[in-house]
Order: sequence, then structure tokens, then C-alpha cells
Amino acid sequence: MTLMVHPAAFYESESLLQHSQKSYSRTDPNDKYMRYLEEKPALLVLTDDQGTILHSIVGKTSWKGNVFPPLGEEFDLGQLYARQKTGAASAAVIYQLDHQNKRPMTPYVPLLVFDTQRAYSEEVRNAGTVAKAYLVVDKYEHYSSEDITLWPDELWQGQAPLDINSLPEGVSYLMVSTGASHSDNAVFLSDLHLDPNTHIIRLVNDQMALCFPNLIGDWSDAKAQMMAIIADFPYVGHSYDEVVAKETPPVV
Amino acid sequence: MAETFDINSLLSNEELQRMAMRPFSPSFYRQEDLNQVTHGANDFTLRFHFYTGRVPTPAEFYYGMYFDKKGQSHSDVGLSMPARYCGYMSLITSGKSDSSYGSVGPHAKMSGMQHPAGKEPASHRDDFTAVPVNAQADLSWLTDISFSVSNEYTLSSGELNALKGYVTAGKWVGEQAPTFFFLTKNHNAPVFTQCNVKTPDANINAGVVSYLNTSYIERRPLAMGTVGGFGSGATLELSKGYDFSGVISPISLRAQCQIT
Repeated sequence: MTLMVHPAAFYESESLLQHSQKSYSRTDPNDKYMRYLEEKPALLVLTDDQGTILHSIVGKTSWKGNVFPPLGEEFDLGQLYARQKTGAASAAVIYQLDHQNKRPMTPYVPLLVFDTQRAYSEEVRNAGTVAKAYLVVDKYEHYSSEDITLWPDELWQGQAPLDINSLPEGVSYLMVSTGASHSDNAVFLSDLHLDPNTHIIRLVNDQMALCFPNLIGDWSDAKAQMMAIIADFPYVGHSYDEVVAKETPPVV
Repeated sequence: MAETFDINSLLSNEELQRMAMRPFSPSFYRQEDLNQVTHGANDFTLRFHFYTGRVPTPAEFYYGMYFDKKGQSHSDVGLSMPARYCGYMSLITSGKSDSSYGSVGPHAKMSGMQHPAGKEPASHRDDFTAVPVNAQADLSWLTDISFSVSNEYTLSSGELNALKGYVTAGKWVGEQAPTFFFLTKNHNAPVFTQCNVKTPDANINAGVVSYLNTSYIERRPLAMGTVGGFGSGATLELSKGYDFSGVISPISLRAQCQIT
């Protein structure tokens, strides 16, 4: 087996809370060139399908490691039940494991979070219908995570369409999906139609969380592997009935 | 459900390789063995946590959920991950050494962290120098370690006495040696919540599910590999100590990972 690296290593690598090469993290003049996404100034820019900037807001990106991202069906093992014994009761009872252990049955991959403290109505730049969203990250830290006016005008002001393919050096982008609230999108909006004259609150969340389950390694068959192990494991199942069914006829 | 995204418009593969390398390749070290335990606390550490029993599948490692049923490690019961822990050894860069710690330089040759050209860290403690990068190394080399063959490490904090007891009692199944390891940055072993799965009537421990307790982020396994004797082809081969003696001499560890 070659050394298998967990996506959690990216959180360890970048997070200022962790210890990787801490002797120069944040203190070295070149630190900003060795740290790629943690604590970087960033813009969230929403455009219509012609690239007209409808909304732009300033914030910063950081890695978050202490949450289980909702990776969805592709990775979630669902509920898990097992026959267990607690205390002095003579018979072992079937318990639901994911409730008992207070963690979802999903992998622990890190989240990239865009945080903004700002949500003011004047940040609606033009009227239109949101079609695209870009997270624009300032990797070399030329600009600001608090003052949008310190960024180049063409990236946020909305007087000309956004040209995402000609960003300044050290600035790159990630296209993210948008939709109305409660949809499966990175950016939730209360309404996809924006108008500077009428709209005040647009983002339902002030935090945008992005996950990359295959950041290192291809884990696309991991769920199938786990399901096979669970299927083969005595007195464990995805439901109460499944645990009971494994016991009939009784396994000795 | 959150959506998943292609990261390549944001970061190049080269940048991703450097991010992946950073926890596993040191930048600075103190070349001489000074045996001063107080130094270098914030510098580079790599901890090897050894376990025995059935080698987990990649999926178990990814989910942080480890299954062991009766007969896989012990003939009568399932065993938790802590029950299969053989102890740890560490590599550090501060010049310290003791029975469980070795220092990069005196006890192991490591290839240094590959920083972007012209953007290497410029400031560091005066008594530390840059770890040279192996001339053969490219960005795919996450870590490259050659251990001094004469150096022995005593595995610390493991359950070797209990494991040897299972062997004596004729209950141990499989290799009587560490079979896999995790790399972390913390000398404390990963923390698990264990679920003992019982038979309905006899209440016998028929298996154990060990969940990584993610409250302890700094103890999470960052990488996993197999352990074997010389010539075994394991990720980490031991020239000495491929048994439950708890005294080991590793040979080398080179890990390449091409992000595409």
C-alpha cells in the first residue's frame, strides 16, 4: 500500500489553529505565498447570464475542520443500528448508533468557508436575475477582506461586465452554484431577482461553505465499500428490522 | 446537501501538491543532536501511531469508522482501535531525542518542504537551518525519510502487554506485530468512541465499531500506511521490531502522490 493521505491533511496544512510548520506561519514575509486559501481576502460576485455584476460582497476564506459537511447521498451511510448492552440489563438492546455518538455517518473532510460581515443593500450593483456566482480569491493578499473599494473596480463595481478570465496576478476564482433559499446551492438567496431599489437582504446565510470530497484521492467508491463492511457485520444494520433479520436464523 | 466543486480554477495542481506536502515535509531543523527537550515545540513533528489487527480499508480511513468483528483480530471478541494500539514514535526537527523521539538530521534524513521558487520562508530561529530538498524529488514527493539503521525507538503508550497476553492465551489471530500506522501531528493517539456490538442472548462482544471522535481535531489521522518487515513491500518496513516487542527500527518511508 502506498501512503494514503486523508483530505483532512489540507485543513492541517493551512489552518492557523494547527501545527504544520508553525515556526513561520503568519510571521514570515513570504507566508502569504505559502498559504493558499486560509485567511485570504475574497469577493463573492453574482452576475446575470451576460456577466453583468448584480451583487458583490467582500469577505475572507478559511478552512473549517470541526464540522461534518453535508456531502449528501453519495457519501452518507444513513442510519446505523446495532445490538448493544448498556448498564446491568440482561439483554442487549438495539440502539441507533448515529444518535448515540452524535456524529453523522459521513467522512470528515474539511470545508472551505467564505465569511462576510457585510450585508448592506447598497451592494446590489445592478438589477437583474442571478445566473452565475464566483468566489474570487486574492491569494497574494494584495487587497482587503473588509473594504471592497480597495479591490480593482472592474471586479465589483458593476459598471462593465465581469471578465472572469482576466484577473490580476495571484487572484483566481471558483464558480459556485446559486439558487433560491433551501435549494442545494452554495449561495442561497431569498430571491434570484435583484434590484438595487427594492432589495435589502439577499444572502440567506452569511457564510458559504464549500466541500471537496475528492481533494486528494478518488473516494467515489468509499460508500459502496462501507456498505459492504456493514452488510457483513453481525448485529449491525441500517434499521431495527435489518438487525433483527441478521439474527434469524440465529448467528452463533 | 452542499454541492461539491471542481477546485482547479481556484488552485493549480502544483499549489495543491504543496498544500498536501506541508504537513509531511519539514522546512527547518537543528542539525546537531542537542538533547534539549524544551526547544522546537512549534516546529515540525511527525508522529507514527502503530496499530495491529486487520488493516482498515481505504473507506474506513476516509470515514473515520473502523470495524472489527470476532475472529478478525481476536478469536472470541471484537477489539476497539485503542485495544489494538501498539504505541507511537515521533520524528521532530528540534534536535531532541529520547527513546520514542528521533530528530531529523541525527536520526533520519528527510527531504525538505518544497516552497515556490523565490518564496521560501525567509525568517526563522537563528539556530535552525533549512532542510535540503532531495535532488531527485519533485512535487509529487509528499514525504521522504531514510531512518538511521542503528537507531531504535521504543513505542510509547501502547497496549502491547494486553496484546501479548492474547497471544499467550492462544486467542490472537493474524500477525503478531504492528500491521498499520497513522501519521498525525500530535503525540496523543487519535480518540475513538467505541460501540461494542453484542449477541442478543449471551451478550458476548461480537464486534466493535470504533468511530473517530472528531472533537480532537489535532489528533486526527492525516495519512495511513501498512507496516511490515524488511522486503515485505509495506509502506513502512522495519529492520527490527516487526513483532510485539515494542522496540523498532524503521527503514524508510517515501510517499508520492500525484494530484491530477
